[in-house]
Amino acid sequence: MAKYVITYTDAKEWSYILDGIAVIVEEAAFSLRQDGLALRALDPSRTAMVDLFIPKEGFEEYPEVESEVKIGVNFKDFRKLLRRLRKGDKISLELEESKLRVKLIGKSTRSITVPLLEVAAEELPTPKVVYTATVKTASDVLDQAMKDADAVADAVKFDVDEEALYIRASSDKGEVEVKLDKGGELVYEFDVKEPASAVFSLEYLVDITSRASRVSDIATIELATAKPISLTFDIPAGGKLTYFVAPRVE
Amino acid sequence: MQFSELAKALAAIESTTQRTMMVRLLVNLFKKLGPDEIDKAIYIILGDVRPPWEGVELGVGEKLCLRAIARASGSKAEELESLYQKLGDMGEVAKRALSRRQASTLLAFAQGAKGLAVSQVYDTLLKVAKTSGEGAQDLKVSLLSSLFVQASPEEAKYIARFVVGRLRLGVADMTIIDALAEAFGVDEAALERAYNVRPDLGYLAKLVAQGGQAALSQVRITPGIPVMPMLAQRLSSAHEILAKLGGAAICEYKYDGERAQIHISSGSVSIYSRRLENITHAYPDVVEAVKRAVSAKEAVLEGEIVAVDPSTGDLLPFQDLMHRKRKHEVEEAMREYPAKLNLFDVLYVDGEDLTDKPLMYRRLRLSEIVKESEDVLIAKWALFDDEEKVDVFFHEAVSMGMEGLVCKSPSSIYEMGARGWNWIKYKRDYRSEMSDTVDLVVVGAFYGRGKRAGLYGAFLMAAYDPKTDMFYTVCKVGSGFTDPDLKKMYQELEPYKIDHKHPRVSSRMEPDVWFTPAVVLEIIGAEITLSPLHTCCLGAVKPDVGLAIRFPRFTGRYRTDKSPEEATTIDELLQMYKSQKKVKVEAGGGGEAEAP
Repeated sequence: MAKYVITYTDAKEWSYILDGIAVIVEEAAFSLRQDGLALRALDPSRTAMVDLFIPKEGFEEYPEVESEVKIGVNFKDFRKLLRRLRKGDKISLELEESKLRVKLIGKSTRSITVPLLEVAAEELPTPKVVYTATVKTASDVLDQAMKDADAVADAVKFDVDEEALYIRASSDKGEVEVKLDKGGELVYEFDVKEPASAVFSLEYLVDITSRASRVSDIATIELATAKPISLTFDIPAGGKLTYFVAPRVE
Repeated sequence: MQFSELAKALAAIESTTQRTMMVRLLVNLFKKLGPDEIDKAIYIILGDVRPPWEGVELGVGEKLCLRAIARASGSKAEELESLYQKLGDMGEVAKRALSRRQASTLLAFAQGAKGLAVSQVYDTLLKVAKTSGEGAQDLKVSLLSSLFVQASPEEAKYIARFVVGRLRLGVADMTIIDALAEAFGVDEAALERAYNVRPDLGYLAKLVAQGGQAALSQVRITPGIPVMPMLAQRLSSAHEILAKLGGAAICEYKYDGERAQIHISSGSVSIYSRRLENITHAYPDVVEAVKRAVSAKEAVLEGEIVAVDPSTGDLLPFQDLMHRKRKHEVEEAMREYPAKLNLFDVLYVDGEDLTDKPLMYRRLRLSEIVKESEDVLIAKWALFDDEEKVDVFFHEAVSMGMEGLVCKSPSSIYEMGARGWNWIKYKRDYRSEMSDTVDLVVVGAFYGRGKRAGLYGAFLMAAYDPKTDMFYTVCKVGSGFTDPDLKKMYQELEPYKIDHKHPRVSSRMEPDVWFTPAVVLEIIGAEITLSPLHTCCLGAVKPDVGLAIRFPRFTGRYRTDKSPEEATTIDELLQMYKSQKKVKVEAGGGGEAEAP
């Protein structure tokens, strides 16, 4: 197998992206494509999906790829090294034979070699949903809303109409309501063609928003009634980290 | 085909009480399945991912299955466990857990998302089976939960039952054969013949689905794939047996061991049981011995594996082989119960299919390719046309610890899967039980081997006859002696050692060392049988046949208080033989079950 080298300028940001994937799966395969790096994975219960794409321009160094190359990794192994990264470090991935060498390059260079995994090459389709509402807000606002909801319940309801997005949770422990008004200070975009309403388990949402809000300051929420929610976080260097979570059956 | 359709068929089959109805349902199902999935559907119906002889197992117990269902349904594993305790049916647990799952799956929203296909379910299950090594359990759970997640509650019910080996459809191989024959317009007898050569219904179904009956002609005996063994009828008199076999018979010792089909192909040896389970792992010593003893590159052989006492070389009862069935005990069992292989047939040698050749020829080929050794022997046999000689041979076999004889027509071909009258077991209807010990005199000894090298490993024992003042042999005993016993025996016997048979001893056996009759030991055995090998009461019961003790063992008591003339007399032994308790010999006891 030819040797491929990928270098990402900000190792810290890379580690946040990996944390964001690890919320959904313990192991998965990156696809090294001609146009960039992609990863799509479903959680074991198939209620949540992560869909990552970083175009090759987002990398400091990106190899010529003739046909798609799979890089199956276990995120636990990966993150062990990343815990030791320092500010200003670059990260490079060197793929050779059945091994992956991960290097942190800064004042000194540290590296580990992790075995490549055979990860089932399942072609996953993304949910095909016609979204009727799109709300762009600060990712921190969304994250706080999820944490508030999680304090009282295990599910959260998203309600959106022409005026505002309501995030509600209730149980005998109490009630939480977060309201994001159209034109509000931290609402950057508000486009509602039709009101929408759906309920989601907080199991994944809490972890998704807490990790992904470190990747990007802005979150794009897309909704349609009784359909999966889509959350997109733009990666500063280019590319997107998108999540889908299936609605609860009521 | 969608798995939901197979699940519907399974539900219908499950609720049927009539076999004809079951066949009809299977015919309809088989007609709808494509050639690339009919094998998979059949393996699912039969409850094993691969034919049993391949030894491919899912390796998923109830705990793992519950974990997979829990993960897929978002339920708690403990909760499902108590539900399982209550219901006792993994299928019901899966069905209930999945019907109350709270979140829908994302895939339900993906365009073009289809339900589970039969192939997808089967391929995943096969992957579960093939997953091994570190972290295999977690991977198995992930794979299974990915199936459960995509399954409807009804589909999950059948998947879960399959996983824990409780599909309980009651569909027998023959029922599938009937249905396949009807679905594809194939002659049932031809299909059954092919099944006996290659007992793999998935494979055969695919074959006839693609090529019809004509394709069956390509099914040939192949090293590495077990065939259905030829079976024997049973009779209990030499007279009837010779009459059935046309006056002459090849008679073989019927060893009390495990019948084994041995396949040699491309340098490796596999061993299959009578029921075609792969039992290679239990007999690493036999595998090595076969590699050394058999000169053919490819061969299919049949034999009986027996356990032997490592220090005396005596055959041990069938039960002792069972110590090898537990995987972690094989090493130890190999030392304590080494195995010997007694070959009695050969079905294939280096491209030559011998199944349609007469037995006499197969026997010849067998002796050509086997170089007999300590561990690999050709089963003791003889050709007889006289029933009295058959009887003498039979008594010899029984007294040597055999179950009896297998008598075969010398001109018969090897009829795979058939229980015909070309092979007839000659077994006793009754065996006796020796209830009391006897005191016997040491008249000779055999040098020991292994641990017992340099000492005597077994002793030739005799009873006394006051009328003739002679000692007549009745058994050769090696069991029951501890290491100190053997050292002591060696020293005690030293003064009595002589270089020829003592004139007061009558023996047909030739031991390594002869003694003046002096030392008396207490012996117990399983029973007193007739035997042409010993001189005790020779001709008293039957002409040319004496009495012997079967499975003799030293009790540990040295009868130093007794002189040799005070030993048990031959009249007493005859009396014991006649008054022994008779026990009915169970049909098919020991290594060879009668069914099916």
